Amino acid sequence: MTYDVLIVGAGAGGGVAAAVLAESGAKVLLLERGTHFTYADEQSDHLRNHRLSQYGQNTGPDSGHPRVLVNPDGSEHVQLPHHGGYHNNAMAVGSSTMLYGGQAWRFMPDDFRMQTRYGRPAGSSLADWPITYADLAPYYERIERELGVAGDSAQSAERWPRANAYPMPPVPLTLRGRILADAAQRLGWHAFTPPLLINTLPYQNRRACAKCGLCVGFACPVDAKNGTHNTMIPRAVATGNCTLITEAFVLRVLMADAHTASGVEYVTADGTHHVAHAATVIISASAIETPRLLMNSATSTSPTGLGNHSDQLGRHLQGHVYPRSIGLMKDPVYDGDGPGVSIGTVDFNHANPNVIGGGMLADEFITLPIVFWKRFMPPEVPRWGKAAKDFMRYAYPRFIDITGPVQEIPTPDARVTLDTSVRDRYGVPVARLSGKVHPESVRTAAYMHTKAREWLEAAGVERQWGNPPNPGLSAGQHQAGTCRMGDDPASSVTDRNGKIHGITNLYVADGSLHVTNGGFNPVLTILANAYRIADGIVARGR
Amino acid sequence: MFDATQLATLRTLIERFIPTDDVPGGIAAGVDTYLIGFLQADGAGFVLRYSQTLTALDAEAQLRHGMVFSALSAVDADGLITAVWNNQTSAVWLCDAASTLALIAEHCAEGFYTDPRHGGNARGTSWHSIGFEERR
Repeated sequence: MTYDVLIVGAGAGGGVAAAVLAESGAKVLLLERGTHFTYADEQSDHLRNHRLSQYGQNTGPDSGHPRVLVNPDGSEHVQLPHHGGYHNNAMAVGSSTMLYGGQAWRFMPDDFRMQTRYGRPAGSSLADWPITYADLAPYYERIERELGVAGDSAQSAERWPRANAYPMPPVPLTLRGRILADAAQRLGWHAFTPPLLINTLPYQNRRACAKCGLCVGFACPVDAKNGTHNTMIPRAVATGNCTLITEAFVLRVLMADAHTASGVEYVTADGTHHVAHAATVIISASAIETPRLLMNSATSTSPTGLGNHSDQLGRHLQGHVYPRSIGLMKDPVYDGDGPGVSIGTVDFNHANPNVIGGGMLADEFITLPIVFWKRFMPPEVPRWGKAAKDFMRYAYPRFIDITGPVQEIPTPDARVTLDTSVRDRYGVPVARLSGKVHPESVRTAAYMHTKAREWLEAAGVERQWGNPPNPGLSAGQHQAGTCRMGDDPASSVTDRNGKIHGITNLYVADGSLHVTNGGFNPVLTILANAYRIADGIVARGR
Repeated sequence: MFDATQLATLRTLIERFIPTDDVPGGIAAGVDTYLIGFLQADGAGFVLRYSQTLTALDAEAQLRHGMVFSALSAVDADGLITAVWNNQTSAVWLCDAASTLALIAEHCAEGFYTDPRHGGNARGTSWHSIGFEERR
């Protein structure tokens, strides 16, 4: 059967595109490698989730889908999906949108013109987006309304030009949030509750948040967390125009000629190979798998991959460096109310002295006890004996941590390529990840770390700890940048419409398009940009 | 997986890593049960290192105190662990002593602080002690 539109990946971008196109009347085929993961499948396993995947995860992929990580020292390691170096995103209908914390930040106007504002540091590929905040603003509004965002409309409107209020009020301040709000006031900082894709009121026939506290990495027990799995994808299917096939792994994009995609070849769980044809093909497989698929679809006229006409495909891989400081208050400050994050500041996303960009800072989602033990204990505290046990009892109720995503300065050397020796269970070359963050990203992260410390100091912590980050490669669940948009084919993979340069009907709609990734959780931008791209496809008559 | 002496050493080690005070310790919370299950599944690759460590701990105890590790007083056991953790060893170790003890301590914490259905945090012992509650 020939479809009007074929979409690879039912995550954030693909889910939105499916709804917009199906509701326009297009016959859509939506292919997803994962399954319909639900809370009923949720094991609430504190060691096997997308927050701490020590021995596995609650969704796939399985070990038949490894990747290769090249460390800055040149050493190479095969990574399984639960290893940190894999940089995994959830494999399920809705992908990470059903397991995330759902921070719903818009990027700021200056986030779309980073090169204009800051120049291009040596060794970086810092650039402006081909679109502006104003181009995306209407789509941010639609996503906030159609998925459901709870936020502080007045505070938001002071920083982001917006036409309408959020559809729901923000989550209430926790005890930690109230302490940090007072501290921010004393510092003269502006702080307010982060917008969340979580219902604070019953919305769209689903319940309000039950404050369970296990947001990040887990499915929601009351379906109050809004992702594409419970909004856009059901909408798409409800039109009767969208066929969703799960456990369908796409092997390659098929080309009719050098400039026209004709469909894809995919394999289903029983090992059967299929071919599906479509007039338009959209890849929404996230910033590692999307370039991998395009590279694995190489043809004689595109020998290193579709869209790799200028050696840009797979480059500029970025995510977010997270500085973190952890402090101890004299008295307990933990009230157990989920989601946990309730106050943040965007005062330091730009206009910082002697650093490029900046980032948002906020308190944190509720921390699993074992995560606290593994990641938050100060280095001098023994990891065994009465001292360790006593510290956990004293510190867990008293700690506050401040963290946030720092806008990274992209570098072309952080990249996805194909590994020539390691293949997945279907015999397809796997993604090979290499490079490291740009030194300017490390410098900005160090600056933001000082601001985190300053906030905790003002809150009255007795002591605090945590070093500024200096990671190798950054990608993770915020992965972005590998099919950057641009008006010049010499420096980009797609045009401003998400269409791959030189191919008339092959699009990308996911975080791969991000030229830069903002100093914010990127999902609202991925969702809004996918809406814009799908809307454009509809407007141009597909 | 382990002989009786090794198992006694392991249980003593767990109790020293997470000792009983006014809150139940590692053994009462079931960390030994958790670890055995873990070593038969995701932790299978660690069994040899555990076995070597348990044997070496006993040898250390014999050299220093003339008795097996599980017979040591809490003070002597803690002293021995502290020495080994700092790589002050006298017996033959077939694996790196300090890093292996740190690894086992982390596995014990995984059992004790993770969700109770894994068996090492019986009745939510550790969660109650720190004030964490899973409201699901």
